[in-house]
Amino acid sequence: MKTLSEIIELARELPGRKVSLAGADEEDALIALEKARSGGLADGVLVGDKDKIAQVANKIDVDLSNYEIVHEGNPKNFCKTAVSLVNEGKADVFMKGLVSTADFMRAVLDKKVGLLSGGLLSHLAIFEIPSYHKLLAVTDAAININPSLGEKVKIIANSVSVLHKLGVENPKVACVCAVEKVNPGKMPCTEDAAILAGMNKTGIIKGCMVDGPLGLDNAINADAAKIKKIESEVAGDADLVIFPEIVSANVMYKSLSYLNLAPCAAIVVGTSAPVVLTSRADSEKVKFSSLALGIASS
Amino acid sequence: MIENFEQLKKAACKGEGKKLVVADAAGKSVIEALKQAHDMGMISPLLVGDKAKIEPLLEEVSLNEAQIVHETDPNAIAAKSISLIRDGEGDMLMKGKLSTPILMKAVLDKEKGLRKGKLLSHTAIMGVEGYPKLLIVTDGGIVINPDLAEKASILNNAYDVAKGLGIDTPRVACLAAIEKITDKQPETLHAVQLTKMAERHQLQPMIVEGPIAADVLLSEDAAKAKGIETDMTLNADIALVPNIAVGNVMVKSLIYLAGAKVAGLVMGASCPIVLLSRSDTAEIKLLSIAAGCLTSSI
Repeated sequence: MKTLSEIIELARELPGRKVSLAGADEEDALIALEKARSGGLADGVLVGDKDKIAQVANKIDVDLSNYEIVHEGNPKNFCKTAVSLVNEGKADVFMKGLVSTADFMRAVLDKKVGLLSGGLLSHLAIFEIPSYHKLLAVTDAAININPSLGEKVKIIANSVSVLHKLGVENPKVACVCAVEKVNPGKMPCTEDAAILAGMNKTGIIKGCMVDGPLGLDNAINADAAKIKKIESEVAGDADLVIFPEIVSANVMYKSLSYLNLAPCAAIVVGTSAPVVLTSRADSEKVKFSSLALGIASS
Repeated sequence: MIENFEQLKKAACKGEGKKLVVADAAGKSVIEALKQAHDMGMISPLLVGDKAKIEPLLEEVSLNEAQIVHETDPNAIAAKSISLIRDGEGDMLMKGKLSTPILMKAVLDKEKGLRKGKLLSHTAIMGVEGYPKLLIVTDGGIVINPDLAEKASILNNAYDVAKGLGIDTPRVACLAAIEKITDKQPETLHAVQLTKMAERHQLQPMIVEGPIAADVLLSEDAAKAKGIETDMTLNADIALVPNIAVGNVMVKSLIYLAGAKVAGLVMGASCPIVLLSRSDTAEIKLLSIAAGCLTSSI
């Protein structure tokens, strides 16, 4: 896949998907959902105060007769009500509207009505970078601060399962560090990366091809890999880049986003259903693409 | 390529004979080994120690060609032996009656010693029936519980021995109790990390695999039964053991239960060091000198 439009197409092909929007009285979220609905990607359930939802819908010219509305008078219950619809199988994707991130995530993590699957939650962003020959997935820029080796295994599994759903059969996973050499004792991430590659080779990490340590240069640029004499099927051709901790991933994410280098789609994975949690600062395109990614991976 | 000890001895007898510096040669079994190696044309001995004690021993075995450098104080013997190597008067070093700590202290002296690599390690070249080539087991003698960086140095030291045996790109099996990677058994992690380090050209040219259990190293049937695809079964040139205890037990079991023959060398200094134990047989002594001869020109 080369463009986010292909993800949108994929979402369109999946029949009967439904998105549960918590706090539907938010313009941007409702715009994105309306675009998805009118484009044939999914139907929507709007959870929130029905009067407030009607006001916003009216303002942005959205016909609410196309939606199922679940009225909830108490804003404290928006998230729980919306997430339980997904939990009960009445919706396939959980999306954040005008609610706080803390409330939203608390609902996701709720043991009774939430979306816990027993795995680890992680963040996945998929970038459309004009100068790269395919979509590039980046993890984890938002949730896991300093993942352990075992957590990295789970983060890879989470991400790979999404890429599988997007039709990338055997994604190439680059464990990126500052260098492509193992630096014993001094750069623990290089040690982890080598172990992850070994775990892939011995069949503990399945469904993908893992190599590391790799520098970002040789992960996504074949010439850089060649110059450094790295013999690796992943080098220069990564589908997924896993960073050693949140800071480097976050800087990558924000560099690509805020220098306007590449639009992306981002979701929370590791849950029993995809979770779409966009930020107010995200552009309309990012919001819609993220929703499409959520639908496509549901 | 040298595949057995007969070939090893033969190869060591070619050429003009290495100059072997012996630190305190005043021991009967030492002199006997030197006599044998000398008469086969492997070495010309340069004996550092008390002339009054060494001369009668030489007469006893009629080793007339040995040169004596007279020193009586143990520290002076050690220092003199090493300066002979440094000055190019000797090609390799052998410990005679001198105590190991005194010799090692002199070898490791930062200014006047024989430091080359990052650490000294022990390699045991094993010839055992059922294994189709010589197997270098390391380190069952010096480094007690090596970390990753130390294991990298141990492998680089073993590489020199393999090179001496005429092997260009040795195959290294990193031994563990299992083939699976688990952080509960750190040597399994080290094994995949070393594999990656070899791939990234951080080690001397060698092919590293692991973790591999000893049955898979030593038996085609075991490898097949376990479904493990490896190029190491009955084919590894170097077996890296996790720690000194494993190496020591492995070497001694092969000697005493399987009738293995062995040559031992300390590597990592600017020349190979033959360091024998009192319990070593005359044959072990001869084979170790022969191995030193082949390795000293690396």
